[in-house]
Amino acid sequence: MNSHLHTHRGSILELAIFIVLTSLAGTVLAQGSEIITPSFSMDVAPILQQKCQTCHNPDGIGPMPLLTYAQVKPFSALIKDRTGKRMMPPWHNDPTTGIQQFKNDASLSEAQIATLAAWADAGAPEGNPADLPTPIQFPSGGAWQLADQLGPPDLIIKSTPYDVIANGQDQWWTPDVPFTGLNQSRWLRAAEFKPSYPLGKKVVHHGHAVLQPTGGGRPVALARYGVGKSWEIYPEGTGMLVPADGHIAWNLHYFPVGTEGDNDVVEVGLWFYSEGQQPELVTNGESMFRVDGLNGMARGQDILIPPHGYQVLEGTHVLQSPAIIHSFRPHLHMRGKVMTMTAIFPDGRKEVLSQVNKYNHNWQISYIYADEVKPLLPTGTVLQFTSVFDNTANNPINPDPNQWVVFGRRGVDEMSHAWVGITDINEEQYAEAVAERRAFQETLTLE
Amino acid sequence: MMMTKSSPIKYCLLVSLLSILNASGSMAQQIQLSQQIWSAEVIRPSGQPVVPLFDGWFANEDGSKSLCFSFFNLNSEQSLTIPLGADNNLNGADFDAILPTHFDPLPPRYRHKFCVFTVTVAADFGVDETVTWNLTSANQALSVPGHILPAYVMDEPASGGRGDLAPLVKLSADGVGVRGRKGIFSESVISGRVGEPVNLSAWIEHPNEEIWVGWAKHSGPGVVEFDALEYTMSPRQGPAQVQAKFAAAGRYIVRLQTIDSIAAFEFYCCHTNAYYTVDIGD
Repeated sequence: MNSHLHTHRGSILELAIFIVLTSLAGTVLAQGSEIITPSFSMDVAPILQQKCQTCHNPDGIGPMPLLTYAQVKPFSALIKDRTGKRMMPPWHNDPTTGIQQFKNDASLSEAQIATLAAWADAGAPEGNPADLPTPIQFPSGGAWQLADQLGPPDLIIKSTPYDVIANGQDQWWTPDVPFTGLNQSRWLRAAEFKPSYPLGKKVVHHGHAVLQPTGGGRPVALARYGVGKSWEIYPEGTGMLVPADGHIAWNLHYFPVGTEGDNDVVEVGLWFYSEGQQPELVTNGESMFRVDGLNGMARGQDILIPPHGYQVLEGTHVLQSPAIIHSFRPHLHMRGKVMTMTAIFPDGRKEVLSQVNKYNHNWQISYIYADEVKPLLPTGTVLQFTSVFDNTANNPINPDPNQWVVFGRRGVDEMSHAWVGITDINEEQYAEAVAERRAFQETLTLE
Repeated sequence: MMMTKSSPIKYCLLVSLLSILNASGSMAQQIQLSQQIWSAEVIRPSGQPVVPLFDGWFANEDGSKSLCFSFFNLNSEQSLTIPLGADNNLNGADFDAILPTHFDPLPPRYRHKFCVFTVTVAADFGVDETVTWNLTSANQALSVPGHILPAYVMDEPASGGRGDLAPLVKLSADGVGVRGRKGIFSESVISGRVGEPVNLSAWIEHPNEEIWVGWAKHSGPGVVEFDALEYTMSPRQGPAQVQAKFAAAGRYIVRLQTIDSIAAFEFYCCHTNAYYTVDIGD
């Protein structure tokens, strides 16, 4: 089929439905126009392909595939409900506050939501199968997600095997494994954290693979994982130096889900810049910014959320050099609901960079900023993080609103920190980046 | 909800619900902040209550279950005494548990006292049944329900992942050893006199090179001074010891807690409790 026409028709339909649904009278389209009923083939399948099938394919982490009409039709009402409530696709960023341009935006537009609702309300018609978009071949669940872009990893590291338990308390598997495979330091360009498939993808909630260099030195976080965030590609010209010798400190949080299995192994794929190639900017990757820290204590465990109540925590961090922020990934547990990242500039201006206001512990989404809107922050900027915990029955994943909730590592306890993809730069680089940004904005204005 | 009296903490901790206005009109759950409470302000030197906590539960070999209770003293300097009775009880029922009546100030490095006592319930204890610890202090009646929710299950006495193992504790060199939070109790009463040091010992076995040991007054009529409240030691260097002085006559319970590392507390696995009964005469 002609994908251009398809997109055009889809856009018109989505716009029309959106106008109808949002107009006061609801009759704008009807006057002199034919009301178009959305069909699966023409209107719904493209949306699912774009925003849903990455997970909802036979090898994906979604509970059911949503590829064919036969697979999708039984779930039409559920799709309308979940998308209407913005529970699916998982994207918990507040669309009304802060930066809104992301490289990995999984959210549906209002028009797409309206299309799905109208289709469900119309009885979920199939339409003409000839209108279906060309199917996408998704990588198998065990494949490297970045392989299509970058080819196979240059180096793969593995955890030691862990026997997964079916039920019980959260488990933390923390093996120490020698780091081998490099004969000299290399600049890391991308990394992917890959739990086993299918078991590991169900039970590994989050994890870290941190290289502890031989003889000391700053640990190098090669890869960090959370459900919904498995890889990281550093921006062009940005990299992380990986020493050749050391050992990997694995920290794997397993969450029992009723399935057991022996010898589960997590892998991390590493992609390097070419030998001898040195990126201009050196990044630390995702760095932790505590919201639950207190007075320099390793654990400021002053989280105490009352039964059926709320608590707000704040943490502030002063940037000692200019920085570029690439991404924002809040980390809370089951009572976590909101995290806001605000920049307080040296001149006193205050700007919300991002706010996740529908946080869900079951997803650890990294919100990756589009290049043209990445925060460029001068020395002395205060990054302020604010977390809100909801221990009421309104929180759908609250295991027990009658409990007092305190700090802890289990999902039923709480913690609060942000993983921020950040690159420290010098004053000269900052001035250059600001000039480039201004030039880009002026270009936009001229256009 | 367990707060039954109007109080500063009620307003300090509870952030009222308004809404975060969502211009898109989406169905997101909405929270608005009319008050913002920062972490450091929860803790004050004195004048605040003790919060009872439920850490979780674990199954015993005979099918029964044990519920673990702990506490969070919101005072960084003030210890509190809450006598058993109307202000300190379990559901008003007669469970076989030793409730603490003494509550140390907030520990500086970890913020609550983990599992200071357990309540064992029968194998057929239902998921909907609860054992509630009621605790009133600083004019606030607080409570917490313990029950056997799957989400709150705990490893005991060892964790599969991290490999944590509750230390084996004996209260005499050739005595029976016990691991875990249900604890070990001194078989005989230790005697002493007001103001005179009483030596308490525990023989601890653990494969680690170093373990953590903490001592606390659990209950009793007067102040207890320890020559060391907490320390790390090698389990192979001999028994863990402490010297305690009691300020008033009467019966005391001293609580020992030991764990393979203090960091393991926040993983909720696994420590061992030991309880010494001490009678102090004039």
